[in-house]
Amino acid sequence: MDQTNLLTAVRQYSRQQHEPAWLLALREKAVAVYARLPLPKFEKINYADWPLEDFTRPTEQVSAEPSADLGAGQQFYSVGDTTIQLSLPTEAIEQGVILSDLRSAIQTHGDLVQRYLMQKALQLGDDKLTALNTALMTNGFFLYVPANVVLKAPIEITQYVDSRQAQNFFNHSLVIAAENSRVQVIQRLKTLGAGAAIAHLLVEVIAEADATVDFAGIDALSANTTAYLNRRGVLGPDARLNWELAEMNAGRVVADFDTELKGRGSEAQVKTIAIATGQQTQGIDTRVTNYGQKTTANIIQRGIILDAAALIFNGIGHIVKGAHGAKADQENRLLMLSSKARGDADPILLIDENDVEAGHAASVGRVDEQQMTYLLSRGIPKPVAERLVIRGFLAGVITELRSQRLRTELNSLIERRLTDEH
Amino acid sequence: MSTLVIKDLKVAVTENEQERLILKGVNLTLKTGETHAIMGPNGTGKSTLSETIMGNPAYRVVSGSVQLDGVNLLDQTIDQRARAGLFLAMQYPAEIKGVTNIEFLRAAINARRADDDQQPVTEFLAQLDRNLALLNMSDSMAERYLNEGFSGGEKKRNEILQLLMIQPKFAILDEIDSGLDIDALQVVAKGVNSLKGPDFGTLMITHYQRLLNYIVPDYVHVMMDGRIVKTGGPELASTLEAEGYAGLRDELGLTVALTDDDVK
Repeated sequence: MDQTNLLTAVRQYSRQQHEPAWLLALREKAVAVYARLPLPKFEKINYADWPLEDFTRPTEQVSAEPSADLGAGQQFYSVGDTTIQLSLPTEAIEQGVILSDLRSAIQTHGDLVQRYLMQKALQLGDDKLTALNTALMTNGFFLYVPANVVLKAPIEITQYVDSRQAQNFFNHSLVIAAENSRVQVIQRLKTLGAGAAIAHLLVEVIAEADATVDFAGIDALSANTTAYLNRRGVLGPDARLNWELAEMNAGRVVADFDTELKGRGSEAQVKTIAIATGQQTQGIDTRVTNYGQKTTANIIQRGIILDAAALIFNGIGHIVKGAHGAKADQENRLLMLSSKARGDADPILLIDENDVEAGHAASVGRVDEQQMTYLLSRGIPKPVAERLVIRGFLAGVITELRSQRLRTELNSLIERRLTDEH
Repeated sequence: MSTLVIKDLKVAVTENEQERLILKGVNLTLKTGETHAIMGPNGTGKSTLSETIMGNPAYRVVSGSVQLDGVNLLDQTIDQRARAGLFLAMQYPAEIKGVTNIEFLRAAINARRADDDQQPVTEFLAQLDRNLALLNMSDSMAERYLNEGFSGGEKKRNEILQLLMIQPKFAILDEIDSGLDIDALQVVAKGVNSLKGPDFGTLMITHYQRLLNYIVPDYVHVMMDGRIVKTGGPELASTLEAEGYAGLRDELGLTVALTDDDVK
């Protein structure tokens, strides 16, 4: 689709949705930026021939039929563009917490959406794919936690990509934690149906001064889903953002997980685990940039590669000029379980200031023999022992997951990914 | 009753590309219901013996046999030997972050049972509670990652916890007393003693007589230079404590260099 047609289609969709003028203007600008920029480049991740740009005009996906799993306990549950369940504890509502789909938020909290959407975390002009998403996004979730509100129970989000639809999926979500607030978000991504799907899923997280956001992403898209994932965080002074991301997808994935430490004294942790199997490629590019003074970044990535799969971990620690007293640490480790597997664990440090601390470690190795011998010596058969060691290698990183339920869920996902036919 | 028979076992290890014979013909028969202790100076092959019985691939069997109830164990993998009834309490157990003690124990127990006969969770937990109490271990130990961040004493207790849960035919305790204070030693001994009975045999490996005050052996074997040079009752340990290994060596007229000869 050429630029003129895309622009016409975008305008038509925006009108149908009765979108405010500011949003139409943003989308129009996005079309222009999309046309102008090249695909974002991630070291050693070659996804140029993936069909991420095969799209038609933006149309609403209507998924009348929910999945059998009705998302019990989920605060937000959607299939395709259709929001099926939405609930917040009374206490949270009384404190002014807003949870809705993006489309409704645009109508009912337009001022908030306008202030944050593609303004603070992601911005137009960053890259081609985020611009494309801005032009074509049809829905997502919107979470706003007002200043000084502390939510004890996590906000749980489950979003299904509906592969029964031929339409591309452009999803865009926002999490805003205002000053001194605290929230834990758990986002699960899955695929419904066995068809081929292309999914663009973006999440912007804005943690304002002194806010703390714990964001767990459990991504388990199907083998037929080709996905571009982008999660971007931006932090105000003394804010904290803890990412725990589990890439348990079975299909091709290119992921861009970036965090901007803007405010002085802000801290980000990014812990990512991934399993690649079959013929799959997963490329995960994690960057944390220290802008503010005394900011702290810590990236830990661990992955397992089986069969003829490829897994690429780029870890980018960037300390800009003026970020005095900043710290940037990272560790990227991969286990290769097959001679045909391909893995890269690349630490990249870009340091433009002197009085800072930066460190990295990377390794590509095999299963720990001493651990294996120990498990075998207790009578545990080799395949089971190997799965336990591998699971430990991954799950040992995700130690912050507070609830036993989540840890169990993650363990069984890992187990399933390791035992699936491949 | 089960019997573990070691016959003329010769074992070599490769260090710096040089193969060296460590066990030079060990003969030993253990029966369930019996408690044996192997004592001996450093570097004499005690740990080599226990690792070889268990099947550590770093040790190459040159000749001889290890049989459990007439079945040759040397053809079997480590996990098969464990399921056949052997248990080795290790000096330096591995740490595995991300795998809890509980799931590890369940995997070990269920590995011994048929797929359609896995141990019910309630039965498992009841058994676990009893054994934790016996070893003065807190419930939280079971939820912790396997040996991760455990102190030396906690690791040893955890080895004994596994022993109590798995209930093997034969336990080999490799220097289970090292690094333990008296209180911890008593707890560990209590655990091992609680298993004593007609269906359980123990082979303890130790430098010191101290352990044998708490777990009293029926037989004491002294190993020097890759062979068992003397076998006796518990009184042999006391003699050794009084006279040292050098005394016994000279009495037997052996020409074995002891690692600690230099000290004198």
